[in-house]
Amino acid sequence: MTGAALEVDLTSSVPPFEQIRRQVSEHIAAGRLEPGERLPTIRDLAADLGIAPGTVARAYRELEAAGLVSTRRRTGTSVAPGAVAPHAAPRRAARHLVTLARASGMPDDEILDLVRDALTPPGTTAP
Amino acid sequence: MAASPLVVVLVVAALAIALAIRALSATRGDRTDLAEAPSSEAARAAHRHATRVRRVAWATLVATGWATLQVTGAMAGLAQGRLLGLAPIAAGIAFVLVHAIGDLTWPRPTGAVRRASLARRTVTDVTPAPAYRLTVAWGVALTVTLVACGAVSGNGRDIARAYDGGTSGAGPFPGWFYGAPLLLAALVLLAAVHGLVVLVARRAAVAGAPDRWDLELRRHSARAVLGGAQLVLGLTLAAVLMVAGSAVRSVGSSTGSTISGELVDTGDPLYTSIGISLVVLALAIALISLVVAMRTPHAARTPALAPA
Repeated sequence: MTGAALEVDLTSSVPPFEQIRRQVSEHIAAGRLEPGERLPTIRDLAADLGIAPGTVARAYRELEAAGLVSTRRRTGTSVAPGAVAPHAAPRRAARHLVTLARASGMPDDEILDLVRDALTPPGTTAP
Repeated sequence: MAASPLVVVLVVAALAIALAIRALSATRGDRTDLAEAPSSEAARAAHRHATRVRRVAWATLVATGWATLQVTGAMAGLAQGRLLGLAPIAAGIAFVLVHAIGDLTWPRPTGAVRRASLARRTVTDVTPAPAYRLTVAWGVALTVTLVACGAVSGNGRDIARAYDGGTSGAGPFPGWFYGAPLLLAALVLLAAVHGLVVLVARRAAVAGAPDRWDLELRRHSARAVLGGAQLVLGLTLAAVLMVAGSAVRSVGSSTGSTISGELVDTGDPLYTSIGISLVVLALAIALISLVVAMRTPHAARTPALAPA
C-alpha cells in the first residue's frame, strides 16, 4: 500500500481540484506513485476529503489529459505507464535504504552520513 | 435412491463444519492492538460511533428474533412453521440494516484542511477472510440443504419412504413449502452483507488517524457484521438440519405396517443413520456458530485509542 497522501485546504485561493491535481503530479514526479499504481476511486477520495465527487473527477480528468493517469472501466484510475518519474530506480533504492536503516535502529543523521560516505570517492576525505 | 440428496447434504454440512473449525482457529489472535492509536477528536467520534452501532445492532438482532418468535407463538397452522424458520434470518437482516445506517451516518470530515491517503481501498482489504469464508460456507451449505430437501420432499412439507405395499411418511420436513422463503431470505441476507462490506470500504476515512488504524477500524466493522450474519445463517442451517434429520430418522425407524397379518415394513437403517447424522451435524453447527458469535464482540471491539 502506498504511503502517499494529499491535503486539501478549503480556505486556500487555489481551487480544491487544482490542489489535488498538483499534489498527485508531485507524488508521481517524486516516484512516490509508480506507473500502474491504482489511485482511490473518485467516490472514496471525495468521501475521505469531504468534498464533492465532481471536484475529484475534474482533478482526475486533468491528470488524464496531461498523460499522468489513465482510467479504465474495470480497473479505475491508475498512474499511466508512461508517467515515469526521473531517476525512478535510485529514488526507489533510496527509500528502500531508509526503510532498512530505520528498521535496524539507525538514526536519520547517521543515514545521511552513510549516504555522504557513499558519495565520497574512494581515497578522498569526506568534507 | 430417494435418500441420495440427503447424503450430499451430509457431505456439504460436514465440509462446512471443517471450514468453520479452520476459520475459528484462524480468527484466534486475529485482534490487532495498534501501537499508533490516535487521539484526535475525529478518531474519538469514529470510535464512539462504531461502538454504539455495534451495540445497537446486536440488541436489534436479539429484539427482532424475540419479537418474531412472539408473533410466531400467536399464530397457528402451517404459516407458523414458515415464520418460525425465518426468525433468525429476519433478525440478521435487521442487524445488517442497523450497521448500514451506522455506516451511512459515519462522521464526515470537518475542518478547513482535509487529508486523504492515496492508497486504494478494496473490499478485500476490509474483509477478514476467515469470517467471510465462514459466512459464505453456512450460506452455501444452507442453499444445498434446502435444494436437496426440496428434491426429496414430495409435497414440500414432509418426506416419504416407499416399501413393498405402502409408504411411510414423516413431517415437518423442510421441503419447498418451508425452504423456498427461507432460501430467498438467506440470499437477501448474503446480498445485504456483501453490500454492507462495500459500504464499510467506501465510508470516509477517520480524519487524523493513521491509515493502519483506519483500516483496522473498517475490518472490525466488517468482522462485527459477519459475526452476526454467520450466527443467523448457522442457526438457520442447524434448525433446517435438525428438522430434516428428525423427520428422516422417524421415517427410517417406523415399523409395524402389516398386510394380511404379515409385517411388510421393517424400517430402513439407512434413513435412520442419515437422520441421526443430520441431527448430530445440526448440533455441531449450532454450537460452532454460537461460539464464533460469542467471540465476535471481543474480536470486533474497536481498536484502541490513545489517552486524551
